[in-house]
Amino acid sequence: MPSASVATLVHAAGFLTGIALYAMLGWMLLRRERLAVGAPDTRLPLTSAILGVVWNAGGLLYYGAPSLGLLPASPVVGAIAFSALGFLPAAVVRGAVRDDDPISHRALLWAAYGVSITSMVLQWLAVGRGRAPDSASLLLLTVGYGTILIGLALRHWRTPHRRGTFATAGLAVFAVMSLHLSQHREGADSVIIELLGHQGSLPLAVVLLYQDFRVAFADLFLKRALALLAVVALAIVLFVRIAPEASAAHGGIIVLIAVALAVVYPTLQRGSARFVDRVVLRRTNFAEVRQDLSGATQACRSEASVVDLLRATLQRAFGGGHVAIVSTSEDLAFAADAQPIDDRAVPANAGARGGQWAPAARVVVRCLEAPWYVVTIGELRDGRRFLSDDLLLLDAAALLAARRIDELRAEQARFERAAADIEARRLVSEAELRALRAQLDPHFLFNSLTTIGHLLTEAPARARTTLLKLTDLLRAVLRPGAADRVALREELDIVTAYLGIEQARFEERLGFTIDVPASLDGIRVPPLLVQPLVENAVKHGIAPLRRGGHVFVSARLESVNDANDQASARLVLTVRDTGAGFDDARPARVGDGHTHEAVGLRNVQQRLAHLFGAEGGMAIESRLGEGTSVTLRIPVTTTGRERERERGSGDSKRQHGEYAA
Amino acid sequence: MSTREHESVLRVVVADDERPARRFLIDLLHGCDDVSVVGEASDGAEAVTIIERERPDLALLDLQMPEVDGLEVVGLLRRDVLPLVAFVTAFDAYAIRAFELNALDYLLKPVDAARLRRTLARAHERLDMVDAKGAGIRRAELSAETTEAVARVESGRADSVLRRIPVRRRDDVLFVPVAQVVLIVADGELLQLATASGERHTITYRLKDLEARLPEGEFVRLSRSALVRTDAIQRMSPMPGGTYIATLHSGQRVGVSRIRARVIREQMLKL
Repeated sequence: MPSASVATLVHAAGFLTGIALYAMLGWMLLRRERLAVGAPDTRLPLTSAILGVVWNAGGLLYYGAPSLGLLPASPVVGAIAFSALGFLPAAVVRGAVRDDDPISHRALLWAAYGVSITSMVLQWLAVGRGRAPDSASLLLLTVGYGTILIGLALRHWRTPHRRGTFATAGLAVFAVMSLHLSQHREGADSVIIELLGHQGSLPLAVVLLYQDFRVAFADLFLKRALALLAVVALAIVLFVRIAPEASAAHGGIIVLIAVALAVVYPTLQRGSARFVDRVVLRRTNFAEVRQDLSGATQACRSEASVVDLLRATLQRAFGGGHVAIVSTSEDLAFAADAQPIDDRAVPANAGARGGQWAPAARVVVRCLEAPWYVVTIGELRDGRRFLSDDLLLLDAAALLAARRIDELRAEQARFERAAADIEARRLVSEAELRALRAQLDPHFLFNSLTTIGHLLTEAPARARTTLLKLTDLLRAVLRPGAADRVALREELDIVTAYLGIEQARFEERLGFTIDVPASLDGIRVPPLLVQPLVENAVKHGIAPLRRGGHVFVSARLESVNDANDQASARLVLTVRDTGAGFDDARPARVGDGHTHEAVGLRNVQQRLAHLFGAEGGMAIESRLGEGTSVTLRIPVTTTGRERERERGSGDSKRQHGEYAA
Repeated sequence: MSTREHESVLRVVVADDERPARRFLIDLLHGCDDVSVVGEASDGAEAVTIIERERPDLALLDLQMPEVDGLEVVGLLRRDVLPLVAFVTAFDAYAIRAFELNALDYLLKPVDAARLRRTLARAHERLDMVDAKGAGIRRAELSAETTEAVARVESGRADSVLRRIPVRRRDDVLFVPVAQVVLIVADGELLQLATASGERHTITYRLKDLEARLPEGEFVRLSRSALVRTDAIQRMSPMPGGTYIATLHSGQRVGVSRIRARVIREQMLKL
């Protein structure tokens, strides 16, 4: 009898699968702590799991064993199995009704318990009569739970996140109902009816597992279970279709079927895995999300953009739900990992921005320092719960964001430190500047005094004027708290005094010309910027030459267009001598053995850099035996009015140095 | 004119490129007894000429003069006419220290009359000592002392690396760029310089002192008495006893001493 064999096969496979499913549910509940999924109460699902195992084990013994001729069908085993089955929907209804529900709704629960207990009593009474399972008991279950289901439906249909519970309850009741139906059709050995009637608890187990352990279930079990179910179904179909015609070669056929199934099994497994990922879990590819986020955070240049990116990414990953990110100064550097939020414990408007929505999970962006960011995710589509891989993604995303924010903050800190360094260096350089200003070549000083000493006897009047020039020069150099800027005229007066003294010393060997239009007299320039250049020209250009030379000092304005195409004026100061010069290729030394340390030039260059940055410039041109020309370019800082005033008071500022014997 | 004609009068030459400074010093000298200013020079080369012509007892040399400075004047003078010297400077912290270390006399500008008198007195004293002993020998000793002291001061100067060497050619001073010098050979108290173009010059200087002032790495010592420009060596020919003969591009041949040969092998003959 093929159909009887098929029924046996279905019974055996169905009940074994049931035992496996419920055992798995129980096992997972027991190690729930380690899965870190925060549904509060594990007792109820655990009860369901135990009931399911009992029912399937009992069913296997009661239906399966006799069909295989192993054991006679025991009424006691049947009663135990059916009692367990009777309590299964009660446990599910218990899950759907909450402690804080009004008493009218809790009545549904009491009704469910009543139905289950009555049904159990009827079963055991039937055992006494030697006729189990009892049809009246099953009828009671069907009618009772049908009614309770309607009550549940009326109560919960509008509450989205309880729809799942309702569906579960519905499925449980359906299982019992279909069992009852099958009892009334004894003799009609339809495979479908057998399957529906006796294995109604299988989908229930699947739903229970799916609801609480979606990821683990889908990954660990569902993929394999679907593949297995497909193989079993294929085996049954093949057996039913082929076995009757080829009973002679029964053993061979079975071997062939087994081989064929072994060949297709990997394909079936891959197919079921894909089905679970794409259709059942509808999961975003979290690995991709993490990778994308990791790349994108590196491109963020500000903390705000990291936060925006995190928000956008989470919104996309969790199907466009609500995501709120709030910064806080509360120390959360050691906050816990991502957690689902028990909606009973959190105010309904915790989502804060964008209207009222219930927060479902929270994660902290754990930066090293304040502010920290608290990310709150609204409920997921279809009332789906936050599962371990969702939480892992939240953690990973928060971590990526935190690291980038830390990096950006460190960069910012570095930048600020660098800026502070520059400021400090500027202050130091100003101190150095003051030190530089105070320097006057002692060699020059003593030589000047010697010159004056000589003039005292030879030309007392010139001794006096030279002495006064030296006094002016010393005053300018030693002036305490010197101004940032002096009028160009003042600087040129110092230069003139200096050159006058040097001329008294070198006599006919030194000539000089200062050629500066009077209109430039008022331009403000840093003090003692030109003087060192002139000093340098005399010391290294004129003094080493027997024939001496001439020093030219000139100034003019040039207009420049800056980066923004704005015209601005620059003062161009040139100090040129017809002295020794130096080889451009070897500017450190002059051919006659005098070192050309050019300390003065370097100081001027440093001061220009400090004072004007890129706006200032110094150019040196020199040719051995022909002389040296140094050109300074500085931005003009005088105001129009200042210039006007200076012009009004200035006479011709053209001076020619001349030697009077 | 190796001894003083007039026992009590000190014959002095003053060299300073700055006329006012020179006049200042000469005015002071005029105010001193037993001093006769026999010449004044406005630069180092002129000082050499005047000193060789006038054979003074004392030269007051400005340290900083164009082209040939006070120290170089000493190097250019023939030993037999080298007078006592005192250097004059406005301000040169290093030189002053070096002068003191090497027992050279110096004056600071503006020159103090009392300080100048001490210098003159010291010169008198030393010359009196020379006169007391046989003049010829002592004078040579004094010259040698001065030359060596000046060489030490020069070699210690911050700008001591030579770029050109002043040499005498009759009354002129020629400047031979160091870059053209290929061979320097010690010949008693003199040094013979040979340039790439085959010119030869003689200077009064010690090889050791000159070596210290040559640009580093450009010359190699081949023996106690020979310095050769490294680039000028064309060939090294081994000789019996582990020594070499170096042949220069100019064709000159220079022997390498046994001691130097080892160093040469280590440093030059390996890649």
